[in-house]
Amino acid sequence: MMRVIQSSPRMHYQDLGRFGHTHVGISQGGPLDLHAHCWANFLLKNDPSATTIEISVGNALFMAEEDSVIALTGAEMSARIDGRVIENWCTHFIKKGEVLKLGYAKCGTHGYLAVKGGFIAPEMLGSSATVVRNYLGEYLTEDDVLRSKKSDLGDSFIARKTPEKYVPNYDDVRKIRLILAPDLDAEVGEKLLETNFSISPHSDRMGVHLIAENPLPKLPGITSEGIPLGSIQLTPSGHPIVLLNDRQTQGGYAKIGNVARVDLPLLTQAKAMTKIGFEAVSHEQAVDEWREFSRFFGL
Amino acid sequence: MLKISSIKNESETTLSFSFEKDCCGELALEISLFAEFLRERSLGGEVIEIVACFASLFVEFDVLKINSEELVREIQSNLSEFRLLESSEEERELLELPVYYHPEVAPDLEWLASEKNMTVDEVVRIHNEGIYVVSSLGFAPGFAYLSGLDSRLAVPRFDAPERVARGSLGIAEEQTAVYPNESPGGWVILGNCPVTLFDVDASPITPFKVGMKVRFVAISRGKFLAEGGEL
Repeated sequence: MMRVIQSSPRMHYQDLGRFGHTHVGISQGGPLDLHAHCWANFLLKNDPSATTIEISVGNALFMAEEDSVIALTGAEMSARIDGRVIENWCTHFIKKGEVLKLGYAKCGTHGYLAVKGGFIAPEMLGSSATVVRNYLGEYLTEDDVLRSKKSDLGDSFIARKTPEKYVPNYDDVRKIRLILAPDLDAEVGEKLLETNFSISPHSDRMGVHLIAENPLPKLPGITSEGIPLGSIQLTPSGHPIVLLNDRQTQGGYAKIGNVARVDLPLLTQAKAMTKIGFEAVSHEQAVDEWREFSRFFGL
Repeated sequence: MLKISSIKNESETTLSFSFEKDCCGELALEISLFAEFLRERSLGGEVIEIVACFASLFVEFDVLKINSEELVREIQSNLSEFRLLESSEEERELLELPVYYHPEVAPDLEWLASEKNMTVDEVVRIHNEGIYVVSSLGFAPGFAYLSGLDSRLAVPRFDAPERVARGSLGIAEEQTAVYPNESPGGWVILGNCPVTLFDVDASPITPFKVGMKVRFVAISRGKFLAEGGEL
């Protein structure tokens, strides 16, 4: 059990997402950085569906109210336990009465806090994923008590770490891979791949708003249809939006591509005003990599 | 009979099937009935989402259980089994929803009346006379696209979305809908419906079903407040 002493601007429970309700207009939710969420649970030998806390922007304090084993992944937030510096992408033992302090995110935007056994969070429609715009769950605030599933901590704690090669450097992302829309106009495709974009500060859990250096050509709207995670919609302004976990369930803007699932965290973790560009990946390659990811974590 | 006209694989885990019809009938309604038919069979857990849209069907699937070629075959064989259950007009459920039509809850009511050279009462009467059909659910939880708006009221949606209050009754093009919760929205707001249209603790979580008929009944301010409406 832990207690929130100070909450970050946006901090909430997430599991893998709320599935099977898109047809009534409910967004799936789920972690913006699935890679980091899965690693946090993997390090603790939790099921990947165990509930973690997504901490955006950082600057939060937690007090351990019992001995616990936790994991931290995602954005680098200069974590400390009772003042002593602790490593990101690693498990830690926190003793009753100790305080976990997270600073502002330095590299990346969203950090993940997991606990051995997983947090016990209210489930709605079979999922603890918080989707504030759907009135499903709320931000965590000061004094909230974070309970965790009973779990044997064992006699001796041995820290587990994510191998270096799986730890992304969120600050060093230039190209994000996308699958070009199957029916895309060749000229728009070319422009999309050669344009530099910056991340708009208006981005949120519904979508990353991109500001194109030179607006892309206008495309007519379509009859509203389903929107995949990572879909790139081109708005009439010529600036695209990459749709994320809390996206609307249908939309009528032209879709020009889809960010590869395994590359999405690089986009969602990018800070406002970061410059990015896209490069194309084949549909087959993207499927292979997503399948490999899913298999590794047992999704 | 529904016919698949094209199939798009936009992402690793989704397929979007576009449909055309070789005969009369409402395309959106038939796609929705097909979607329900597929959901009932649930396709052995390899399918994560089945979403009926106006002219297409969106399917999300688990790449560890099925690949897109297999899924296309599944959908096609299900489609040939699917026989449109012609529910007669009478058998379809009719949902009546109370609406308080008044400028104090409807910022665009007087604007629309003047735009259409009508009185507010005429706008309300025309909107009340309609029998609408739920053609799709989506956008936000419990948001039902209702087709069948009288073309005399048809109006484009606003360019920029604004905050719309919970329960707002809107129109756009030849559709009407109620916003179940406060939300950004670009529809033209004519009234407010005090009925809860989305509640995760209720079963079902929304009273709407695709194909269902809906009628709106004008109510007074007093009744609106008594039924839980908020000004």
